[in-house]
Amino acid sequence: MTKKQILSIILLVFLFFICLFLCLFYKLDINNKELILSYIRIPTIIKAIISGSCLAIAGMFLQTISKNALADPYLTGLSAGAGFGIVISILLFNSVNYSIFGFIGAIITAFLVILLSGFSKFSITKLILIGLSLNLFTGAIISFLILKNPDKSYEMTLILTGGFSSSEISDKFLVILFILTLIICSIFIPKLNALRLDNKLIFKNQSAANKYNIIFVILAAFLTSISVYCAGILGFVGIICPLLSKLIFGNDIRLLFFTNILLGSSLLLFSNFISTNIIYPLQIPLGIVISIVGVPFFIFFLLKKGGILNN
Amino acid sequence: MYKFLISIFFIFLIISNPSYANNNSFISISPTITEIIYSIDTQDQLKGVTTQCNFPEEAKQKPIIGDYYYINEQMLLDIKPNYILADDLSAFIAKKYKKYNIEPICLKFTNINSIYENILFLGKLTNKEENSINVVTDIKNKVKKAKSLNKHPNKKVLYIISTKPFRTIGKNSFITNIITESGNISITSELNTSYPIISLEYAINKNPDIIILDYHCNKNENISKLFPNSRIIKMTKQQSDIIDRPSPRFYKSIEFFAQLGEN
Repeated sequence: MTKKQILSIILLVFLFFICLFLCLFYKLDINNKELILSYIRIPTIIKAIISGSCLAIAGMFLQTISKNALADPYLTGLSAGAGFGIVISILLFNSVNYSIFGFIGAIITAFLVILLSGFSKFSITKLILIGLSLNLFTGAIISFLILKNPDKSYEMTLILTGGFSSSEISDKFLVILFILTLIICSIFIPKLNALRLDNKLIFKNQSAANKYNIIFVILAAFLTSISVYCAGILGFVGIICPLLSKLIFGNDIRLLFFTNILLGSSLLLFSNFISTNIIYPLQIPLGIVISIVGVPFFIFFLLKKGGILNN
Repeated sequence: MYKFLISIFFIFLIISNPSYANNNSFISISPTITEIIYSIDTQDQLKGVTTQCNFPEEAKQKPIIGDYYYINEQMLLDIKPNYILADDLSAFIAKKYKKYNIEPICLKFTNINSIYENILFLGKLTNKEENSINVVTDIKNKVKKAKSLNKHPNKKVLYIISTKPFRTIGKNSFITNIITESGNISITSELNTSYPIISLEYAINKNPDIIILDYHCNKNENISKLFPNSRIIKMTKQQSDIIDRPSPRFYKSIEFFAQLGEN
């Protein structure tokens, strides 16, 4: 690692802890301290860290195997699948825990897309096109359901923009699930370093490369589903964080795995802080804040270091 | 090309048809306005309603021409009303049909006085002025009676529309006006908007005495944990319909809020 990279990591860790501190203690009312910390702030922080990390890592996996900077975690039709699950749970079950339906919807869609892409004749292009088709198909059904249920349309639209209020889940379960997934991911990380190069040079044949491609698509789908479980459908994080990490820290996936966790978490923690405090007590939907906060940074780095993306 | 010209010709014929201009026929795409129409006894001129117009029961027998966001244009042209009556929510739909010479009438319901004004306006429009004056007088008497029911005034009320995201009522909401009229205090009345999404912490720090959960909003465990000292009331569909609509039945909402202090 170069001195510059070490300094950048130290800065990133520092940024992460500042965001964490702000989200925990900024304007904390002393009279209701325990109530607010245990029921609102700590669960939100856990969800922000898990959701941000999952999206950033999933984005990195898909951008690397597809060798396409525009690939995002919802590539496999996950957003529409999750959205469909959420809408169904609100309409049919008037459900509080719609995030579990989102999670199930995302998982089912992802595996359907992977299955349709075919294991023996698997190709990334086929996967993207099938994911896109399913996205459009399910998206149309979601729009129809929203229009046909005007009583709940506003609520559904708001929920679909994502946010940490969306789930009421056991933090312990979520943390265990997240750590287990991270461990599995870290086992396969060295292979991802190989996949970013020309597959013909590294693997004996295309099917050997495809085996790993499928593993990483499944892992990305699972990570994204965990994120949906925590925070609903949050766009943009899964594109911007892997690209930003690459711009700042280079191409080594082992390092990027770590920096993506920090960057994704920090972005969501900071966006959550802005969304709850900038026009307090009113809240801005998280999805909107992420784009407003993230895009200027991203464009700045893109203009400054955009050349690296060609490598 | 000739098919296109023929279609244009037929559309032109439909629009310029003189029988199109029927005297005082209208459709309502607002449940509130439908209720007012029935209350001033001018329903014979009402030619169509929406799926949301569920009160009074007879309103359900009228032809259904759509909902808040969608109107069946073919049905609309078959009915040929003079006016489309809409409220703030559905105003943008109503304005679309001006092209067929159907006049949109968009009524705003911002507070209690605006309800009286709109009832009188609809009375004038439908030549039922006397009926509308009687209805307004009757409602005013009922409101006076409802207010007197509050034996424990100044209760701090938190009205929750949805818990996820946490959405409530602001200063410009009609419900805030109702709570104030009932003699209680809406803890979110200082928020200068209609239906804001707010920080849960803000609501906790305001220590509400009573929490009202809208019908659509689930009574989840977290609310009882977050507000251990508050009384939580979940509304029924019927109560929710009355409170959500600035209709002639709004005095019942005042009765509801005025009696919150009773155990």
